[in-house]
Amino acid sequence: MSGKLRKQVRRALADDTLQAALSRFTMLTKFGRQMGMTGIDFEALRQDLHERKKKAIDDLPALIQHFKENATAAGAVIFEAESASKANDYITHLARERGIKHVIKSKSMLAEEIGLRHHLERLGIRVDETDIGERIVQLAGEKPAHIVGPAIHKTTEQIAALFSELLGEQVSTDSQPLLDTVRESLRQSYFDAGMGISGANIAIADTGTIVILTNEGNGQIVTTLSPLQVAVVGIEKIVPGFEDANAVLRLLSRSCVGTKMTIYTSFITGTSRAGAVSGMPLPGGQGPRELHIVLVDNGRNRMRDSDDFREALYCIKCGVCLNVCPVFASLSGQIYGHVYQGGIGTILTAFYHDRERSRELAEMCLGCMSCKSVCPAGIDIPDLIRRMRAQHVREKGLAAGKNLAYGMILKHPARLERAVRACAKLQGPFLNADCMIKRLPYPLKSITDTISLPGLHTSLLRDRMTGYASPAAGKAPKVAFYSGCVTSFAYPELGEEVMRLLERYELAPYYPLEQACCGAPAYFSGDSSTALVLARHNIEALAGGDPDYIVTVCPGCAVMLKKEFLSLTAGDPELHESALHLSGRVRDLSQLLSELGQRAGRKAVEGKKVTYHDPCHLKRGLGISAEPRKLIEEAGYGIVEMNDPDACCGFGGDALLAHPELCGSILQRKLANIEATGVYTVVTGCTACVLQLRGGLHKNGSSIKVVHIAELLAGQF
Amino acid sequence: MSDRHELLEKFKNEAALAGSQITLASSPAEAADHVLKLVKDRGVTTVVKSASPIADKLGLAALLSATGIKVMETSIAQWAAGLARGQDVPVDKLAELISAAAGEKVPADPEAILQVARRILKDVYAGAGLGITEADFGIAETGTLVTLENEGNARLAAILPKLHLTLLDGGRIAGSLADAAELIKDTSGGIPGRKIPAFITYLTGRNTTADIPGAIFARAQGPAEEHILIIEA
Repeated sequence: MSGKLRKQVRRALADDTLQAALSRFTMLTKFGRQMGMTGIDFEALRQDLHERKKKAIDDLPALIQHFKENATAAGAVIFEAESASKANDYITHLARERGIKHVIKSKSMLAEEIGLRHHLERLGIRVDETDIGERIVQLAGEKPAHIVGPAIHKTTEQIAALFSELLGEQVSTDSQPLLDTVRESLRQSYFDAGMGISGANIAIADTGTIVILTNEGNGQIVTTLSPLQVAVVGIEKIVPGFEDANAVLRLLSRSCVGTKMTIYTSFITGTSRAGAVSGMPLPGGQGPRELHIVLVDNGRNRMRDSDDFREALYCIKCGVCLNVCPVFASLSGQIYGHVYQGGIGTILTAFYHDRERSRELAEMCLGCMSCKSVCPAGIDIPDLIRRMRAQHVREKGLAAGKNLAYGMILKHPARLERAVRACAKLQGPFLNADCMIKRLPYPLKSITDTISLPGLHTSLLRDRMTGYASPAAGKAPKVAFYSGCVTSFAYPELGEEVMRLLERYELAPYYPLEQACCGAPAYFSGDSSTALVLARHNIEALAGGDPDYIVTVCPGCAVMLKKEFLSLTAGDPELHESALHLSGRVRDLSQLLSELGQRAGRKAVEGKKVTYHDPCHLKRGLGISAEPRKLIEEAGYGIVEMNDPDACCGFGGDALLAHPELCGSILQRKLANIEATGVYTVVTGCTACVLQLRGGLHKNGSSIKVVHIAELLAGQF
Repeated sequence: MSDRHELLEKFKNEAALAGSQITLASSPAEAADHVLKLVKDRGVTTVVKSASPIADKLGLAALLSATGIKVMETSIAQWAAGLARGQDVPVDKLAELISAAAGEKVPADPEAILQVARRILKDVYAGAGLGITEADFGIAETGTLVTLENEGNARLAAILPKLHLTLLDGGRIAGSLADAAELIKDTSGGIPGRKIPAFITYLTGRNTTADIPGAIFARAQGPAEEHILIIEA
């Protein structure tokens, strides 16, 4: 865990100006996304894009060759740079050779990645960024805060101060005159510069074309006015043909900004040509007379060669994953330290810049899957983060604390239970009258600074379930209850309610006594070996009694049982077969009850209002969000929807330990949204969310109750 | 015919949503009137244009000139022809005419002529009140205008002047991005080695920026207004 990163996190959280800018940004992008997704079949389009990008990356060496041939035939000069320094050397050499003093540049994340601007500036060449956001961060001497909006963290006052200094006159802080000033100050640059530098959003192999998108129009001016043009292009941007480019265009602007198309989309193929004058052909046109395309590898082929991370190359740099990331919404993008931000940036940072920083950044991910649910290229970003953690564990081993927690305790179910029982005996001095723990000593102090923890029970769920060890004879369907650790140790009474509820639904519930932790904490921390041991243990424990269903009240456990056990057991065909069998039977409680249909119970008092929090793993992990709402309403409650009901509550394994302040800030946003509904009960479907929300509300001194849907429904009978 | 009507309606709606101002002209006279009115209303004194069969058919350059507006062609060939008043002149004579326009001695050499033409035209674009270009076709799905060229002057005439007007034949609307790609495949650009023209520009609505806090602002770095004149004749 890095003290430096944690300090940066604290500083960002305490920066009110930044926080205000981030709130504005989050609101704007949320509205944009709703617009962008209207009227399209997002799932079909993203699957199409995913498959096309997959094929392009699979065929990359041939595509590069094909692109080179066609671009060269059209008059471009291609340079293949395997590293950042080779790309920079080529371009600085070109600029020096042609006596270039002044360069204009449109925004390119790759140029940022290789530090191109600084290399040119070091030679005394003036470089003017022309994207307004990029220009702002250039003048501020900062790195971009966001792939698409580099200056989203800046206020008009800050921007006006930068341009006042540049222009030597007082610039208005009102948005419209400020924009006019910025535009005018850029105008002259375009005409004076001798060289234009751009990136490319797409490169088309069939025609040797580069495709450049800008909304401001600066890209169109930059790529046309200067006779000498350079485009820096990541090799992963190459696709076979126009229809592949269209697949990118259909989702890129819709995803990030919310418009159907970026305003200026330029397809540039080679150099420009003009007609003849006085019967004499001219040696060029009014656009580029020389077009140098620098194809940059800089770690991309290494990423392509690694089975675990190849998928990250499908990224089209739309930035939507940042727009929905709760961590980004709390901290902005500069915290990431290099060029790329958010979850995908964490992966790219490892290959392009700095593995150690990437490992630290990986600790901030809450695993909420928001990014995965919106990624137009269908990249499983949270799983890439998990693989990054696993790679680190494979190479360097687990940190001492985690090694103790996972390897020595969690891995051995009996030891875990003994440890919990011991803690239950020792917790007395910390326990409040209401059985909550408000303060623990180091190293757990940072957690209790954010939330109060529930006291542990001396009588665990297993102790209370000995009568339910096997299903009642002759009854069907047989339902095994998998409780998960939070229920077993902290909320055993919830487990008892679940059994009662299942009986009311005339099922044959039972509690396989040998069940153990699903392994999620270890798995998501990268400790796959502990996770595999626990997967094997649970697969065996849950096969007993031959259940028709296995029901859970913690969707995090459900995702492990249903999905992750399959990937964990991939190397053991026999175990994998059993994992498949298990997977098909796993149901979230609300899902199972919905499948079974309504049961007559006592209805709630008419008009009783609750709000509902969507757990990340239930909504995005299992795709369940309508079912619990329907059950709540059938039970007679009215639902008052909160703002962003599916935003993460901030309970995220690694992040909770490494960055409690960050998780606390995400939790407080959630609690503010709950409070704003004006209702006194929040219902949810995940025991970890219950723990986090109850703990946060208790800490805040709020009287709002948090109820698991199982308790709410059991209360009917 | 109804298909054509639907495509046109869709195109109009989408382009308007993206911030363009659309006018449909059902006769050449109506089209010409619209342009003259726009120029008058906005106080435009200089117009730059790129090659446009529609503008030629409407006699637009002559009509604008007749009202005292300066109209400049922006392809180097047409610009040079303008200096020579449409006469076929030998290169020496052309060099003299260009020298007079540039205020410096320009040799009768293609490289020198190209460099000077680029320099002079840059200022012409920037000083113009209106750029008139013609799109090769529109895309209904997105309200996009597609312009193909090899020289680059249409791109500059579309972005550097204060206002931009695109002329579009109402019968030339592709349904989707996929249909547009099919149309592009058939246009080699006429230059050896090249499968498509040097520049294919998709313009969808009016330029914006979200980089200055407060709102999404129109007129980032391109024209203040985007007009589309659709000729349905």
